[in-house]
This record gives sequence, structure tokens and C-alpha cells, in this order.
Amino acid sequence: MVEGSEPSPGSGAVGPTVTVDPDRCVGSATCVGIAPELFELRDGVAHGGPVPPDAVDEAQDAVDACPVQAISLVGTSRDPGRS
Amino acid sequence: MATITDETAYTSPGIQAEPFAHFNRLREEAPIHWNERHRAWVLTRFADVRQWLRDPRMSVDRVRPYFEKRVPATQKDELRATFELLARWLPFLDPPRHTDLRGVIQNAFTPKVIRSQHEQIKEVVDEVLDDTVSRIREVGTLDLVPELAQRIPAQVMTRMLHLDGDDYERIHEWTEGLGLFIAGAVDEPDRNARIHDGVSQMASYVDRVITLSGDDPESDIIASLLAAEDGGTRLTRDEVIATGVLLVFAGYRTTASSIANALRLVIERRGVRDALAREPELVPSAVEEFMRFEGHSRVLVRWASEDLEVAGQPISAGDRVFFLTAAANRDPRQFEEPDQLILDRAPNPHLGFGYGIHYCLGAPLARVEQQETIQAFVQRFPPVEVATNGISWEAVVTNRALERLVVTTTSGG
Repeated sequence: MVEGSEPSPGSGAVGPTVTVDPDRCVGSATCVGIAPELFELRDGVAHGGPVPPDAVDEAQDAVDACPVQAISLVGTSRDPGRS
Repeated sequence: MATITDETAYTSPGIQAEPFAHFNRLREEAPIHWNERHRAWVLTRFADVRQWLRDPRMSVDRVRPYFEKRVPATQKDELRATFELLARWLPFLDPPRHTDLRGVIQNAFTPKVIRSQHEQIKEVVDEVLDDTVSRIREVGTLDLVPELAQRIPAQVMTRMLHLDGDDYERIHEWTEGLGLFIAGAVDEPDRNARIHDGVSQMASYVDRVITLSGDDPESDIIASLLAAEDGGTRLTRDEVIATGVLLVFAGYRTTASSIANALRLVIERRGVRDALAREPELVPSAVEEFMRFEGHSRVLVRWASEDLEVAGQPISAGDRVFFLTAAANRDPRQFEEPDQLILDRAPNPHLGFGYGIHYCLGAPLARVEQQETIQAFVQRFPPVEVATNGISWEAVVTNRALERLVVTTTSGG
């Protein structure tokens, strides 16, 4: 899981990362169902973390499926028009 | 594969009283079967339910097909406006319009907004509970469905929407007819006429509320809907009316059922009440477990928008699919000891609020209402037990909803 693995601010160049806005997340666990290795539910709120290169598609799926649009995927070179 | 057929009506008294033995058996026999009585495919296992609930080929747009096929030609003119209003509801909209509207409406229900309302909600709960406690001390017996489970969400909703508290009785009446349609009370006579009456009265009521509403989106949901904008999308007045009716309906009926089901578990299982009174920090996880174990929603309905193969079963475009969350929430492939009520179960990815893009928008509010109600109840309500024949269930397809929960004080109370 991703416990404690969230990138710390200022840690320099980071690869793709998913972050969850705790003010929006309703704990539906939709992301956990789609990508259990990228997300974790703690006290009813999802937490993200770094995304391995081969999991970027899954991360994007989670972004698209989130019912409250609480997830952001940053640090990819993906064409933003593709999602 | 051979198709299994179930002839059971979910509205039958036996299934109402104790559905889980039957649902568990269906889930263990096959991941999908046909229910002849309800003319629907039924998906029973957690992994399949979760996978297909987020598949865009499973449509929720059931209002228009119902209107076209099931409403008699002679009633179409009378009922058209009602069905057009329902067709604007988020739970019956597919993307892309669903995506646009949800983005706007959910801004009124984020956990942050609900946190800011927490004290107000707690006030309502305390007020209603104090009143109920003094009444049961007086008369010794009370039906907790209308007196507690329904009053709390109704009062919360009327306050959040700045409605007149005395309108509660009317809201109760209006939502009843609509509940019949939403939850599938298939045997109810005059169903269409009752839906129409309830919806049109609620719509004109919400229309008046819009006219009277303040202009402070921070403290006023209706004002925030009128003002809301998300990526350039705004709600039309018709959409605000439809959404207002949805909020009154969903914020009241479904929360009331969840609270009633939770209260019953707390009352019938003395150990549960004692544990929660002793350890209040268990209440949040207990509420999630109540939703898994006896959530108000037992079936979510979708339509296949094209020919599909679901859990090995070919199904056709237009077929109706029941997602039997009541079975999936007790799937041993996902939950350890699924038929045990475990107050500190973690993780608990239950499907009691749905899954995917139609996940309950009001979940953060419903959670706070349930938590505060259960907390106050175990701390302050006198010891009670369920009265003889004190329980009955609404004869509806999709929900597990108590009609009555009559309790009496026990000695020492």
C-alpha cells in the first residue's frame, strides 16, 4: 500500500502522482476499487501517492471515475486532450 | 452456462422480514441469475457489482423508457411534466449531462460544507431527541420511525433549505407517492396519479422557495444552486426545481430509512448499544457497518445500453439489471465474517451508498446525521425493546425500509 509514501513538498523532481482533495473526498472508495495499489482509504478519506509508469492509465481511470472529482493526476507528459 | 431463475418477489412478506438467507444463497449459487417476477438480471457478488456499477454501458436513464412503455396513453398528457422533472434528476441521468450537473450540485454537499453545518445538525438531533425522550417517559411506548428516524432528516433538510419547519407534514405526504415509484411498489394501485400529485406539489413548493430564497450561496443551498457554476455549466430554473425536489426527497426518505435500520440494530442487540455508549469513538465505523449490514438500499437498478456479457451471462440491450448490494455487502470473498456485525470493521468498502459516478451525493450529510442520532440515542434514550409485532417493512422492491419500529421502555428505564 501507499502508507507514508506521499511525496513531500520540495522533494525535487517527482514522477506522476495522484492526490486527493480531502475537502471534496466523500470516501466512496471508487478509486480504491479501480487501483488498490495507488489509493488507500484512511478514516473515510482516500489518499494517493506516486504512480509507477505502468499504472498511469489506471490512475487516469480513477480520476475519471471519482464521483466528486476529488482526484488529480499530476506530473505526466500525457496529452491533456486525451482524457 | 445454465441460467438460474428466481421466482421470488422482493416485496413478499418473507423476504421483507428476512431477506439475507435468500440473497446469500442466490449469491453463492451463481454470480448472476434471472428474476422472473421482476423481469431483471440480478448481479450478486461484490467484485462484479463494483465492476459493472462503474461501466458506462449500464445506463440509469429509466424515466423516459418507463414513460414511453408503461404509462398508459390516456395518462401521458397528465403525467408528462412529472416525468420530465424526474428525468432531470442526477440519479436518472447518464453522462455527459450527468457529469455537468453533478459537478455543479456537489459543490453544495462537499465534506467541507457539511462540516460547517455540523453544529446545526447536532442541534436538530438534540432537540428532536429531547422531545422524544420526554414523550416515551410519559407514555412508555413510541413508534421510532415517524418520531425519530423521519423527524431528524426532515428537520435537517427544512433548515438547510430554509423551509418552514411546519412544512414537515406536507413533505412527508408528498414524498410518499414518489417513493412508490422510485422504490418500485409494483402492486400499488393509482401509482401514477399519486406520483404526479406529490411531484407537482413539491415542484411548486420548491418554485416558491426559489423565489423567496436569499442571495447568500454560503448559507443557502438553493441560492448556491442558482449561483453555482462549474466549467461554465449553470443550472436552468427547471433543473434547480428538479434538484430541489430531489434533495427534499432523497435527503428525507433515504436518510430516515438508514437511521431506522440502525436504531433497530442498536435496540435489538443490547451488546451493540452498550459498546457504543461505552466507546463513543466507535460510532463512525459502526455507522458504516450498519450501512453494510442493513443499509436502506438493497437493489440498484441499471439498463444495459448494448448487448453485453456479464459474469459469463450474455444479456441484451434494453435488459434490466438489478445490482443486489444487499448480497454483495455480505460477500465472503470481500468481507470476513460477513454475517457478523463488527462495529470496528476496517476497511469497510460497503456499497450502501452505491459506487462510481452515481455514488450518493448526500453521503457526507447522511453520515453526520446517522452518527449524531446514534450517539445521542445510546447516551440518552431510556432502555427500550421492540414491542411485540412492533416491526413492519415497506412493501417495495429496491429498499429495506422500516414502516414501523414500535418500542416500549423496559424496567429500569
